[in-house]
Amino acid sequence: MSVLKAIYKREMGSYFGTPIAYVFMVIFVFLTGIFTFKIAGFYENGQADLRAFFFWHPWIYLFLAPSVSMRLWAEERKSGTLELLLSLPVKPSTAVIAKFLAAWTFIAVNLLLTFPLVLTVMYLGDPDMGVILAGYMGSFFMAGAYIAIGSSFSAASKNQIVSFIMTVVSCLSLILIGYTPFIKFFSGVFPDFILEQMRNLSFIAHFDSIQKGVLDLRDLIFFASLIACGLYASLVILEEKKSE
Amino acid sequence: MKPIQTRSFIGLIAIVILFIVINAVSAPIFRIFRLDLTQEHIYSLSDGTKTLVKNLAEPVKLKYYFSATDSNDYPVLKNYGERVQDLLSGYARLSKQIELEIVDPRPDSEEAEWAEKYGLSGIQLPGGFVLYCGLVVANETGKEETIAFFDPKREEFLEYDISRLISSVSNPNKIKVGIYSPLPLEGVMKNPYMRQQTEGSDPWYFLNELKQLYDMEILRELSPIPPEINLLILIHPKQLSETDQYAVDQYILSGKSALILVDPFCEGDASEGQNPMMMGGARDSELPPTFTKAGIEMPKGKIILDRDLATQVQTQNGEVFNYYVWLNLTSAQTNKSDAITGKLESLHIPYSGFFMMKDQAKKDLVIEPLLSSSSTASIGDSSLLLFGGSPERITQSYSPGIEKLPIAVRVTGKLKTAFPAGKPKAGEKTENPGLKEEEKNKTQPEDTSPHLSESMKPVHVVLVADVDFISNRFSLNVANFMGNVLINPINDNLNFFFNSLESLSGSASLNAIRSRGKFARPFTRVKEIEKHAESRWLEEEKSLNQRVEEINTRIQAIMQQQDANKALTDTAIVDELQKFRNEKAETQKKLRTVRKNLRQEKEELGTQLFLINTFLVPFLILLYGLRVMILRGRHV
Repeated sequence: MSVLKAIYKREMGSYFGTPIAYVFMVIFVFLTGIFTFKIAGFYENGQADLRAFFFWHPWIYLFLAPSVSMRLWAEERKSGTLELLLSLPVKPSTAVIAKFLAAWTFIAVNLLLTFPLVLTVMYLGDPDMGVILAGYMGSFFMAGAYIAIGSSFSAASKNQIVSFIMTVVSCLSLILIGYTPFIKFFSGVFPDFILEQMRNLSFIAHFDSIQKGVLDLRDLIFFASLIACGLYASLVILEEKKSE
Repeated sequence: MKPIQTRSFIGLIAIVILFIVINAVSAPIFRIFRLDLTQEHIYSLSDGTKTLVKNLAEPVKLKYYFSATDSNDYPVLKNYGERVQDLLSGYARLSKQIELEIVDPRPDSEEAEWAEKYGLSGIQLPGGFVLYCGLVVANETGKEETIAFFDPKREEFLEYDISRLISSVSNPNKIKVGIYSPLPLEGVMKNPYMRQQTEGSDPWYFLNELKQLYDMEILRELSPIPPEINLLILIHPKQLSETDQYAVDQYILSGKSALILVDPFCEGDASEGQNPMMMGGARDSELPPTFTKAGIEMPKGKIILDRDLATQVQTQNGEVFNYYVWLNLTSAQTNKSDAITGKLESLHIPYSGFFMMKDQAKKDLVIEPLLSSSSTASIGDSSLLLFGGSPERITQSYSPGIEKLPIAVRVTGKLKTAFPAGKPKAGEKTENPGLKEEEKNKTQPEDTSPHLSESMKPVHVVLVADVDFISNRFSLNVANFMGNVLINPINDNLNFFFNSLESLSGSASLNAIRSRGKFARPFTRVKEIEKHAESRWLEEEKSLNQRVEEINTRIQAIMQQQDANKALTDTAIVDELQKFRNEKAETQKKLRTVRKNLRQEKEELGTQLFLINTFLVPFLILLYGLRVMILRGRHV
């Protein structure tokens, strides 16, 4: 546990030790503000909820999460510290989990920095705080899933750009797979059963459900299984690289 | 090296498959584990529905027709349709007896044809396409009931409406309704041999509708009340004998529902030989003693005078006056969270009484007002209505009151008998004027049911302090069109009556479904700002608009003069015209400013909040980051 803690601390230090972290936070808060107010028309809608804010999260994470996750392993490999890390008496699984947790925490900090929006909506009306809390939880779980996928691609490629692009493509597929026009496109090709399964594997379907204010065990299983699978894939790839 | 790569590759493929399998398997298994975090639990079904659904004896099929694909351009319907679908899925999750089928009827499809056959209605689109959002509930024997269209305005009653349908389909037996009244509800034939009673009277129309909706029986007497009756309607019960009062008492304590209409002054109560212009206590009825003993009373001989709800009436001489005893109730006087009155908008209640509840009643029972007067109503004596009820006298005796007087209430809870000593000795029975001779002579079976000293189950009764509101005169417009009698409701009076019956005939679990919270949570602060701006600027806008109108009229008048003179030579007129035009331009400019002011405050707030969230917060983060970096630099 102390090893996990040590790696986690080292990772957190490396996030907040560079100006890039702050630039990242600025971009995150700025973008969510622009999307919420100017694109989703939060103020004009006149409804005291944060639907306009959460609606864009799958798309904002699509680019921001891979840019956090791409450096998880690629940087270590580039600078040659990966071999060092793996030669220490550290279980690769511990390293994978610690690095993932650090990246997830970093995204969580970003998410928490959007709290002025919650104050705004409380100032404007009488929002359902349960729904807002659920929205934040859903967004947090979804961010974890993005990071876990990104972690495996970061482990697989030395090149951060390749890792970034592969993560974006994978996550985009997991968004589109539940997107109605996309499902409609395939409705003639696959039977309904397959289409239903496709929808069931999509970020949108699960995030939407949580965002409405309902914590469904199936949604939690979806995100947890995606995180577990992403991390396990990172582990399999790292083990292979280690043996190389 | 290669074998390892292959192994890893297989491992990765296995992980992906594992992910797919976990989610495919968990979807049907874990569908009941959900936590509704919304404040009003809008995604959870109430206990009433849960009991209803779990006790279903036979399977019920729900066919939800929702144009999901074609409603993309209609966000309100789309959102609401999805909300309905969520709720219906909740029903299906509760019990295997409920099978939910979701149908997306596309234009010209077989599904759309079926939707039409079921009588579902929807939003008509150009080209004859219809956007559906309706429900068909069917049982195994083929009994079907439908909600033709889920109106977003009825959102609070969504669960109630669906559960009511399921309850009705799963209990196919018609409710047996018994109705008792001394009034000639079935009408009185004109009697050519009697001078005094020359007019006769028409049957009360609501009876026709009652016969269609329920298995109805007109009760000629109340002791005993036939045991198969499970909904009793008492209209104007006056001077009931002790035996009859006891029968009603025991009926109510048995937990069966009742709708009781009493009146301190019933216009329709013009008993034989009675002068219709004279009325004292003879035209009133009273609550059964079961209620008076529990602490609910309708004060005898007292009526509501209400200036704010008064009806404007025109006399034959063309004189217009406000009649304080004919109350026009709007949605402001109805209970919006009750399924009976939630959607009623206009009721006309003539010569209404009111209920008074003692503290004891409030403690033992749940008494919810359904209809009430305005908060400035006062109490008058029914003797004011003597000799036609002079409006002047009524107006003079009015003085503004301070609280709302309940006109109709829903009573639930435990009640005690008003006859603790048991059944009173058989005395004289109340004679029902409508009773035929052979019915009078018919011997009734002796009631042998055991005496109840208190309610076995929670009682469920609706009490109304007026009777006339369901009479044809105050609820309908009857027109004769080419030999056909056309009957049109003129207000929600009969809707109130039938909604009450519907609610009372529902099972206890159905009545436990309260109206639900709404999705919509508007920006109250913005609304306040708008209201404030309106109070400040609207008056000015109005006067400026008026000024522009005036100037326009003046200009027009001058222009007409000019037309008549053909050529405009008089410089004085030209100058005046120019002056008016300048003034108009000036006023319009002011008007634009006022309109801008009306929006300004709201828009300013929007801009400020946008700037704070999008620029100020990132800027603060940046500042903090810089500080950290500088400190770290120094430290290093």
